[in-house]
Amino acid sequence: MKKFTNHIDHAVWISHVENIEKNVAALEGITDSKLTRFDRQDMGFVMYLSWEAGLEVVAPMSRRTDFNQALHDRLERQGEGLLGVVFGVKDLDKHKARLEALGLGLGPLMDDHPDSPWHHKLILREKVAPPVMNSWLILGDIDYADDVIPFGDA
Amino acid sequence: MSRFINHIDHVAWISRLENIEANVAKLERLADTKLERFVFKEMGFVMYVSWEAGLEVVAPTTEPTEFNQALRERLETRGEGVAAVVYGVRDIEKSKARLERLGFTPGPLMEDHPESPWHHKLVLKERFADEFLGSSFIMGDIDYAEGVIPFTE
Repeated sequence: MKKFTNHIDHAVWISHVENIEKNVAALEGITDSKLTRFDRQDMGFVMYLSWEAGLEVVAPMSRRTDFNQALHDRLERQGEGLLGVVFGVKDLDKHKARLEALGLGLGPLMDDHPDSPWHHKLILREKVAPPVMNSWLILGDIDYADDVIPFGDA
Repeated sequence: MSRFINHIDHVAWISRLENIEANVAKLERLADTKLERFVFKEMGFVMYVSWEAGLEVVAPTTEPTEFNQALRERLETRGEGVAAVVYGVRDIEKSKARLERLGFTPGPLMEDHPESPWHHKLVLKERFADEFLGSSFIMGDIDYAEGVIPFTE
């Protein structure tokens, strides 16, 4: 398996749920990629993802949950846009300890759902860090199966 | 050389000039990385970048220039935030042709300056593709020297 260590892993946009199909179609058109849909009913949001391209679009479902409240708040305050970036780290627990020593706390652990359509492609652990320049920075400890990420010889 | 092909390459935030040192310091603490500062006086912007981390922060200088006009407008309309995502492609000319067939209007080619301080690390060609949900989507045809990008086992 391979991972990004101290490098951007992927980017995340936020969309209104009624616009997400149209927005994903536009992103697919620009990037010549295909994103896969997964509904996180337990957390109350829809996500479209291409791990291969490093692209993610999320939209909170109308039913409010503890998790999707922050997404609703963000949409109401700033509208659709680039929500944040996921930054790959070698060891999430060590990174968390380092940040806590600097007085910077992280959010709760987020794992990939075992029923996700991409569960065979990666092992994922993420925590949300404090915001920077009005965007979320999410720390990701993500191991990819070989050949998922198209970084190779030029 | 290695490159990203149909994958995010790096992201660029826009900052107000008076906040850029504080914003970069926070980003460095969170990411445990170090960005280098460069000033492009004639073009009218300050840039902090770590190619190794895929992180870039830019701020227009106070003196208006043709180049920094778009950066100043972006700050006025949307404030600080992620201004651009650079997406790696295999062939920037083929990518341009594909976008034009789809009705997009890609921008002019931008190449790395041979005298840039990172020129030994990469060969770069970029082209604006389109706006997507308020941020710029830029196609990048970027070859990195071996070992620059930390994607490993």
